[in-house]
Amino acid sequence: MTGMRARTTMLPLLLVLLCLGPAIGLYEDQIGKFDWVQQYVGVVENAVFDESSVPARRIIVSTAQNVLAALSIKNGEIAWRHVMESFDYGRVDFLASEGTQVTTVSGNLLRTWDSVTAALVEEIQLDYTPASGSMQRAVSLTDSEVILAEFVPSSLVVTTLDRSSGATLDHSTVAAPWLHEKTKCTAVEKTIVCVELSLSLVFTLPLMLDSPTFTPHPIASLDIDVPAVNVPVIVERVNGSPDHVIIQIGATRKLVHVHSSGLHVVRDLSGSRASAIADSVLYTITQTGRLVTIEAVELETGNELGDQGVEVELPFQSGTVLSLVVHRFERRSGGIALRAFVSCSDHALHLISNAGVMWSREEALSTVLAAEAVDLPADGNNINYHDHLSPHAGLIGSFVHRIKTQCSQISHWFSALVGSTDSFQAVMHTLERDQLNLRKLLVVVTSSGKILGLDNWNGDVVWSIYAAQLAPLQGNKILLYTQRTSAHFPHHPQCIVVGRHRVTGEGMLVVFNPISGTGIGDRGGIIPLGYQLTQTLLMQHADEQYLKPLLLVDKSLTPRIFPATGESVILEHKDSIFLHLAQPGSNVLTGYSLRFSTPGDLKLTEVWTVSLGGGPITGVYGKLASEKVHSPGRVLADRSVLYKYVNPNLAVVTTQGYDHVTKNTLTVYLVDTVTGAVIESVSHKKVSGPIHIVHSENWVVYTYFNDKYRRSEVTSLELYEGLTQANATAFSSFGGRATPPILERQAFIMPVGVQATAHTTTEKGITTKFILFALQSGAVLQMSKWFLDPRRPITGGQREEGLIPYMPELRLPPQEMITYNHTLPRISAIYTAPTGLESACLVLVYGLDLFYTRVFPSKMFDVLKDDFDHYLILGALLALTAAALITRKLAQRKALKQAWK
Amino acid sequence: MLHSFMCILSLHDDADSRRPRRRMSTNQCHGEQTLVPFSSFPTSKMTRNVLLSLWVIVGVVVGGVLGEVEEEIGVGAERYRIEGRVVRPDSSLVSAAEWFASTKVFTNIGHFGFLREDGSFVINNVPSGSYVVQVMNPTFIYEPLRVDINSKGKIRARAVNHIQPSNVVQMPHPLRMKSMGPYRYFLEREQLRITDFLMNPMVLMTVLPLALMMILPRLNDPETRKEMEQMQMPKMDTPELSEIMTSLFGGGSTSHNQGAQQKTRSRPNKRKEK
Repeated sequence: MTGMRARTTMLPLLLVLLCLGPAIGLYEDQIGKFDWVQQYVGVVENAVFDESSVPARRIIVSTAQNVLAALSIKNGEIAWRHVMESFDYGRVDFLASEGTQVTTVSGNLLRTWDSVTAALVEEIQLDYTPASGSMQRAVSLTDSEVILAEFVPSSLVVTTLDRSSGATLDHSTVAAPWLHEKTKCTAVEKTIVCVELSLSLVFTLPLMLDSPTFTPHPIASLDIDVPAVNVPVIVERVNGSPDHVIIQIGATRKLVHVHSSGLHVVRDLSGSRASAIADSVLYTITQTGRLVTIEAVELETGNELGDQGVEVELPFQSGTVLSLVVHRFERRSGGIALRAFVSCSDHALHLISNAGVMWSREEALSTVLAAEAVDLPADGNNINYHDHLSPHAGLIGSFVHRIKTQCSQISHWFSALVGSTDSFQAVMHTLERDQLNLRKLLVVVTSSGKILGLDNWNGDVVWSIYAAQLAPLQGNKILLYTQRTSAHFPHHPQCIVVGRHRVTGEGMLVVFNPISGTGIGDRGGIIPLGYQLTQTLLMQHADEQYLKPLLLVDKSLTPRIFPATGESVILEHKDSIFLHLAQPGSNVLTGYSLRFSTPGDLKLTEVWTVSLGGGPITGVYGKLASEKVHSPGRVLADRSVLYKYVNPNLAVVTTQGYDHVTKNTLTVYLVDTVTGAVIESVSHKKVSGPIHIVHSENWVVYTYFNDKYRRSEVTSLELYEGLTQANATAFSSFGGRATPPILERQAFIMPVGVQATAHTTTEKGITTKFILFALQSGAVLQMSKWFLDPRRPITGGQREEGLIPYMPELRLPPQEMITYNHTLPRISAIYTAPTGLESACLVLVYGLDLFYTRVFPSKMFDVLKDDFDHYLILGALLALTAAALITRKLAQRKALKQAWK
Repeated sequence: MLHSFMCILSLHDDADSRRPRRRMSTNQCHGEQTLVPFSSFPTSKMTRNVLLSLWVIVGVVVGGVLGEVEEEIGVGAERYRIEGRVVRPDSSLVSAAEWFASTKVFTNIGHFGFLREDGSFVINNVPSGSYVVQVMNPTFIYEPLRVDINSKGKIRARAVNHIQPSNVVQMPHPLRMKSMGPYRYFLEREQLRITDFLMNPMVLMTVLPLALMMILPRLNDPETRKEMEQMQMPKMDTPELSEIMTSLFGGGSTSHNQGAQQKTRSRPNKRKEK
């Protein structure tokens, strides 16, 4: 495999001088000019209406992301939000609104919050340790007691604690030999209800008794037919009621009243999605497509309250309704008003009133797993017909092609002139590429299976595709590739998402047009693969349709191509396609080649195996395939050039192990993925994760926590070939070198822990790079690579250009925080994309929140600054011209006078 | 002073490599560190410490928290609580909900303490070990503190010193977090000030001689002027107005640019001083 090497230029050095000058920060008037932030709460698990006022002003939610938040009922905005611990202690198991306070139980902490000021009122540590092997936990709260019921295999551990002190009052274990992982259980205020389908029994356990035991009830007694074993079972409590549960077995769904003497079926709810009870009125929601119907029934009498029901259409493409919380109140003008809070399987939230949908929140965006910036199509008039001319077209072919393209251009221009009535077309019309290609469409894939297109100008959702069965791959990853960009005009751009089927776990593809947001192919572009995936690779070579084929490798290491027509591309380049695989938990990295493939029979052949020391492999980090390296070397103080070791096949492989002598060990290997050669390795003792790695050009920067000195550190590695270059035009992994590359390295102290890292990317790679650190404090810091240069001199001596003397602790000036006063919790990754402007780089930070901005790592060297004073220059020019004219007149007059003398 | 210097050096070599390095090894640095006495802290038996032998040679037994602690998080360890108070600056103008929702206390391994109405906080479930406790607030800077909890639950707070982790500057334990001032996230726009323009050396260099040339001849009385004329000096008439104007404006505009450049250069220095 060969990599491109670019020409030497002095421009980077000039840029260094520029960027080492004053800080490259933001001016106060630039807030929101090219950045936006969207705050989310996450996937809602519990929700209650705030009881501090009638009608309620807020709705309190707790989410799977361990967030407790209050949403304004009026507009859905976040009134306040508390992000809790990311580990188990933060998980909110119980949420209740009691007067002006909100009570949560998470881990062993009982917290009470003020629902208006968001201040903590009380935090009580419950004297209990979680039982080992706990599968699920149910919490029940009374005025004086907290009852925790933990489900462990074949028994239930019930702990009763004092609410005000947290002391244990009672601790008992109830034998339940039938209890296993698949048993569905739920807790209502005083009772635990479990359904075990294999025994056809429903068990109830009253918690208030001194020596509780499970009471079995046959399922048949609830008027439910006992079906075959493998049908889905749902047991859930009903929001707003302390003693009702819903039991659904197969398609039969019943509302059951739980009381001291047993179970009593209240109503058959088959066909409905979710139910809630408010003031002894049962609200039930049914859904057909986007149309949602809420029906109200009086519980006591069974009378239908037709006027209190509502029928609405959910605003955007939506999943199925999962839960319903209802708040009803009397209007001042009389009559009952309804507020129904609905959460859906695509993680969207809707608040429905009698009049319709009041607001919706697209909470899917809180679980973004992959992002890609897609170029908007250029205006039809600007399309150059050469761009999409097939390389094999003959003379006549190219002539016909030209005529066709020009006709399409004319028709495009004409339709733009007339104006289309289609609203979608109108949206697309406003979504047009700007001159510097700064405006792009951000395609994001979320863990709910929803794929969204966001306008990077303002963060608006332009389109969304919901693939309900699409789930993340192992390790909570979803892959997103651009198979064809929008540069090939008559062909539509095409993106592909690789995930797995939610139920079967087999691979799944979603193929779509990233500009219009429509699926390509049958069934809306959703393609179930029917086999499990181990590796995917997007080819760098496109086929005749300008489509880059995607290589998929299944569990039995059989390579497959999507689309199947891309096989010819693979066969054409089979000698230069290499794959590597690392099995989870092992320390073996294996390389494969496609060299022995024949048409119709693609084959992976093992070419090398490396067994790495230092524990199992925890990560393999390659370089960006599209990366461009502009300068091949660095000028030293004596004017000689130190050439970079730019190996496009280099991957960073980390292994982490533990032993009693050195404690946690981290080993970083630099492996050539074509030959399997270990170029370098660095090992750190007494170092623990999380480890964040940035790998680009000839350098690697990684952060970790040093257990010994108890601080976060950043290590920077750089590889150099030396003062001569083996082959100045192309790089080959096979071109054996007599000497290994030179490794330069240095470590720095990072005063704050790091959540995620990334480096900036630009169009040509001329601009110096910024390393973006998402800090634990919620800020995102930009840091010039020059501060992390491993050649920073420790002692004096000949100074190289752009090298600052070494300081062990990195400074984190607030001017360099690109998020300024936004705090971004739970950042999972940072995505960067180049623009048409060499100096500018787009940055999308995702996690719980979305933050988008532009950064200028070498300042705006190719464009005038936005504070450039046009008026001053114009004024000075005009004044100079005027002065020249006036003085000319004066001079002429003087000369005339002189002549008369 | 000596050991701190060694630590700085050793930072580069915390990692092993195949290639020999010219810098010092970490153990030496650590040896230096352990010699710092901790008289203010009660001694206790040190458990599970790798450097036990080294300590015995030195002949001192110091609390496990101080030398080198590998905290084992979670496994049946006793849990402790860190307490303190965050003082809200008077200059904070945001609503109560925004203040309490955006301010919290966190440790470097992810424990949180939420603020009560009076600003006090408790971080529960903290196993013994050493933690950096920080206040998260988007507007105000708070100094982080290091809190050491030894295996017996004794809590000690001290100033964070990443370069010399063994240097102890003790702080009171129910922590008191006071803001050091607001963050300055934004650069200040350069503004065109007339004094900057006038006090520019280029302007002074052009304007002053000009003024001298223009004004001095007029100050003299007619007699001296006549004398001067008689001295047959090379014709020293008032220079042409056009030249003056061009030099004035030409000099003026370039000098303005230079003034702007100087300002940008001088700015970061100002910041450093702060």
